[in-house]
Amino acid sequence: MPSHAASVISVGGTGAAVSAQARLGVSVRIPRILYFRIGSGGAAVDSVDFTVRLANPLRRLDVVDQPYGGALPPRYTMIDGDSVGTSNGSLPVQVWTNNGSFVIDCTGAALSAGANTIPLTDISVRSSSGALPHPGSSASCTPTSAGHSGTNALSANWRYRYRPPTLPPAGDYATVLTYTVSQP
Amino acid sequence: MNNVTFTAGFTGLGALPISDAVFSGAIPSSASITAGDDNGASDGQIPVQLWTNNGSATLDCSGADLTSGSNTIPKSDISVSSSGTLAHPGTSLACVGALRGSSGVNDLNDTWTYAYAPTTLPAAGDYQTTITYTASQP
Repeated sequence: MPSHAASVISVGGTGAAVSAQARLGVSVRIPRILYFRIGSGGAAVDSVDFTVRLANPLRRLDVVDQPYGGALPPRYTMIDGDSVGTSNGSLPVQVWTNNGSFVIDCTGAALSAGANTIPLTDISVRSSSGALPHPGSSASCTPTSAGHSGTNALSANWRYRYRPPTLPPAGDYATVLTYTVSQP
Repeated sequence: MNNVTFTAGFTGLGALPISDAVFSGAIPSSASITAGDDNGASDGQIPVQLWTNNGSATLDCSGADLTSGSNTIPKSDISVSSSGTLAHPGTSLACVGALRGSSGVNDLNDTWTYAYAPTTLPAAGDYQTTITYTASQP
């Protein structure tokens, strides 16, 4: 049976104004929501791939083994690719939250191919938006605060580059980075 | 004092827990709101009644916007619908005074249904207010 806690009877004399009041409490509960996406989202792990090639005039040098004559070209080039269709080493990232600012960070081991490694600091990362920066200028992340109070709907492209000063030993170097967005 | 409580979730994800939870996939585009109350109906409905032997009465309400810290939800975002002989004074908690009943004795009954369907989800928080309804006669 419904309660009638907020009920009142008002009795007035003849000709006098009369009023009755009742109170109602109204509340809305909005949970904290923090959404973070890198790449295509979901359970898939997107990838960024770099392929080293020699500079002109051997720009078309295939990545498979092949001999060539003459002196070793002094420079080489990098071909960037990714698994989300942009093919330029860029990944779309998105953060949505109704709970204010947040901290972005990442962890992961250096890229390795057998006993050889490429340090994470050699993989530079630049964001297309200052509002959603990459946590640091390389894959060797530094925790970084972003966002503001209230609701944040942020998106950017993070572009990964590899420009080593010296060519590492041959190999397929790989690692997996885990990015984390957190709020206190 | 009766209470009406709304809890926000995401469409297609069922009831979103208030505690921390992890889900994957694309972010849902809209929020689903569940309504409850403390009078047993659990659907955001409140029974109301006005009895008078003094003719028609002006029904109105007052109260501040819902607040959670410095964030607010305007009263106009809480819609109210009626189904009986005592219509709510306006279509939302931003009430507009309205005359109810007729001359002589009036026994008016209704069920007011409160709903909250924001176009964008507000900042997280527990927003609250108290609305005072007044029935008056000159």
